[in-house]
Amino acid sequence: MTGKPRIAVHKFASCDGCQLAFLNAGEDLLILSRLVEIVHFPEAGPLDPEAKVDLAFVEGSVSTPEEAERIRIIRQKSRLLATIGACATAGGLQALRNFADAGQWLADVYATPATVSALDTATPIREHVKVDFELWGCPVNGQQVLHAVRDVLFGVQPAIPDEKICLECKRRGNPCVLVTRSEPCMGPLTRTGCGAICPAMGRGCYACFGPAENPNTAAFANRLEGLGLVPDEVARRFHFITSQAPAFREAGKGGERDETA
Amino acid sequence: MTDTRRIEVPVLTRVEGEGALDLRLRDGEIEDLQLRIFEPPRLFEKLLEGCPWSDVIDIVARICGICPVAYQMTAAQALEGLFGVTVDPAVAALRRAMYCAEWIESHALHIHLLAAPDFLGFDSVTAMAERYPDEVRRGLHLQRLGNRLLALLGGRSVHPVSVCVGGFTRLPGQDDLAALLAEYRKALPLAEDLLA
Repeated sequence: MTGKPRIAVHKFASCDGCQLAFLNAGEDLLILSRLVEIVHFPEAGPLDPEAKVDLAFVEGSVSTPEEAERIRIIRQKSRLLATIGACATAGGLQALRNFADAGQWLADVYATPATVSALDTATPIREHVKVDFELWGCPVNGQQVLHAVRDVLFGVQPAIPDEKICLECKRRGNPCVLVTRSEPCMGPLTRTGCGAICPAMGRGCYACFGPAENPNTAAFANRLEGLGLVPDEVARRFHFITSQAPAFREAGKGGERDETA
Repeated sequence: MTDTRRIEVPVLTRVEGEGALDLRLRDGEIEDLQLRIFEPPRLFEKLLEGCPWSDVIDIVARICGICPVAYQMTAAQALEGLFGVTVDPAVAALRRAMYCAEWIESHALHIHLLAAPDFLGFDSVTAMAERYPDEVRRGLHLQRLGNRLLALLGGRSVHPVSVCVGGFTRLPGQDDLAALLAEYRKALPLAEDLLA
């Protein structure tokens, strides 16, 4: 890379919380601005949606025809494209429409649905264009984002941890809420990155970071039923914030409200 | 001779959400103004239907990443209304502190990163920081204090995890609260300077 690397931050269908990885970074944001040139980041000010960049961060899932077109343009203009957050990597909560009659949902909410542009599905970015690396989480871990930028500046592929939350709990010394309190904690299936904050705060993990490597969803679903969850409740643990991660999409099939099963 | 101008802003910047603005001016008066919000619909109204009540607080946080606490507190209170639960005064006080922490973070962010650069003619906060380093540092410090209180009470500042019906899933230790309170007290003059 000659000159300062150019970075863009794009928003798709999302709550806008992952961009805060940059805006909440404090001094690190000022340091970042000295290392790279942020050419497009509308929430922060810079606007140049079709600028050619070295690294584009994408938050949010594709949920309208306009978004499906816009992501293709972004892919063309970006040397590297990285997704940040549960929406971009796994659909987000808005992907729950994928299991329902989305057209009916739209009509139930809006008086004149014909004036609202929306696809029947909300899908992860990788289902539309090639993604170079993915940073999961709801929200994404800000430190992971900044480390990834450093990695790219050094010309290496970012190493993104995908081990299970249980390992983080053990490192932190958290009592296991699954074992000690029979909480339906998704930690044994979920990738770390959050610091195991839910068990640390005395409640079960709800898988907002998506599946870890090699998740044994069938065995864990069995364990959840053993805790007393009925099949629909088990399905809802998978079809929640990261429902479009393939392992979870598969594992949650057959719940009461899944009209596609 | 009339002077007609059109101002088209295809993407509103320095604001959360997606919108556009078109203005038509005639002789300095606004003749037509169109505000288009094209934030794509995520259909929370429908995806919430049929959910277990214990999922609601986690779900509604995701309506907005800048103000999840507002939604979580609203949901907690709505559910408590349904259950006929009145929370402990200490819980109410901690909730208020958490809500204020979100305000402190959000307002410090808005003022320093979004609005002030615009009002003062800078392209970005980094450009403004070159001319006003102390003021920007002060703003970032206040923002960070808001985030730290959110993380102490909620586990993390975006989409906190400890808000629940009845209060909190875990309360911070007295020492941690006291330490952060001391830092807030030290920062009070900074906040007053900001307003001055």
